[in-house]
Amino acid sequence: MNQQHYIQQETVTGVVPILRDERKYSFADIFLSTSGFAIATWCYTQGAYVAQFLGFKQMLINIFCVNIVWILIECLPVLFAVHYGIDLWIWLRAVLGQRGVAILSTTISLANFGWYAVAAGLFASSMIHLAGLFGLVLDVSIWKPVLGTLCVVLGTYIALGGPEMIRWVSRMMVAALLLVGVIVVGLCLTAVPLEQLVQVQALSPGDESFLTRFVTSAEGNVAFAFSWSTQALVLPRLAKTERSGYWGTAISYGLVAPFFVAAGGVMAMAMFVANGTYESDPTTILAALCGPGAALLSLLLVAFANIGTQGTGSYVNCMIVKSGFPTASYRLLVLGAMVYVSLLTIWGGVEENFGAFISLAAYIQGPIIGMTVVDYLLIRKREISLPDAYMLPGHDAYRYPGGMNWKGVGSVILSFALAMLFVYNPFTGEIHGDIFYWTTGSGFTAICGGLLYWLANKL
Amino acid sequence: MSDEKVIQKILREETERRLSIMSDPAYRFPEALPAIDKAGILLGIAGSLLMLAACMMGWLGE
Repeated sequence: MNQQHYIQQETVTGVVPILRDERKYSFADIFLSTSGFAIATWCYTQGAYVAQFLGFKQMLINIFCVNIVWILIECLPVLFAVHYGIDLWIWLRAVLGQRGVAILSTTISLANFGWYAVAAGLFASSMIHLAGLFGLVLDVSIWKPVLGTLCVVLGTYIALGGPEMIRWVSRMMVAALLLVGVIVVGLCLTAVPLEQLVQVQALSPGDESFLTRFVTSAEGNVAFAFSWSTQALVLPRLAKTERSGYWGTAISYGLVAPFFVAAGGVMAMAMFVANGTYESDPTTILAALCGPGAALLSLLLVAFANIGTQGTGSYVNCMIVKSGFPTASYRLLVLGAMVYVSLLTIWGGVEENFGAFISLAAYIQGPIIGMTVVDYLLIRKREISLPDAYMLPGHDAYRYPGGMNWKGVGSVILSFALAMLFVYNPFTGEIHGDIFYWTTGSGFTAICGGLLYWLANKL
Repeated sequence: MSDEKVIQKILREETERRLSIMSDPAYRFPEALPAIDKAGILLGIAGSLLMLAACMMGWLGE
């Protein structure tokens, strides 16, 4: 084994802290790589989902403002990732214990991979629709799993190249994606008069009050914002300054991703105004509003976006698993993830239960967000002992009985349970308490997790 | 020594070396976030919360 090469690999695809002069990512690199990761068909699915419940103006406010609030908060730990050159899960060894990190990082990564199965499934659906527009009829039962798996495999190739490959792929792809996103919104706004779009009310309001619909939509957007949190620090540890790391990450997740969510909502509303039908697939919408030629734009919107997301997503989540299992081979983890996501894609169950899935994942990530911010700002006051975090011989401050810090792990479990029982059940959609209207269910888990953890450390 | 133990030893030694560099008073950490950026974060959060409250109160339609 070439030891120097192995060490170099472990700084970027492992858990070894990255020194200042090894940082390679500027603001533009962080922004483009993170945006490339964030922009995927799930944005349009999310936007179309919100468009069912809210009018045009309220939809835009809900999408942008909910995301801005939570992204600005959950990105604060980026500052320690840049400062120390470490990932979130190294810091969390102090909060959760080494075994707590191993269990939760693996659980969350397994859940996060569900997102990529959704992206791969939507990729396959869009490509089948696109082929159909040009006279090529593909059997969905065969081609959906085949094309979905192809998306996963191509993304795996990018992930195996590591952050250098991701940086160069993102530089080429993301500028085009942003431009196409603006073009698509422009096309929708010209295909349907803006005055009509602005007047659009909720597409499927049901019997719920406006306040219930608004907060239920906010729940979806909070869960969407939380979905980045436990993956958000892997790239910023490569950043040269705290400013570039923080804003490159926060603007990507807080403005760029919501822009594409809003684009999905606008497209769904434009489709409804033009055809009277509800649709979330951008390929179908573009073809209906602007003709089959415009649907080719979905090649960029959907195909390139989702493949790029697979690649970056596989990299960050395998890095998260490695923080719990530092000696695991990065290559083997990526290849294992490829098989796992392919199986999820072929199954299709995650896509069918999208709303419940994102909230359930957020209910685990929410408490971790709350605890991390509290630990970073209030408990440890922005400083951590790295020798103890890395469990070096003679440094035992973060070695807990059984490898679990029950103040942290207990806060996660209790917050999850309290939210499910007394605030909001994402499986059934039942609201259990008025606090839901103040915090949403996912937001409650973050606030509760942070509060419980703070109390546990003070008492 | 098994491969896993060799890997653990390499990782531990390299981590110790890097932490030693970082604990040197001469080591310069990456530039910290300026105060004006922190003010921007607080403004962003406050402004967004106000918009959400205005919307929920019905001041912005529906």
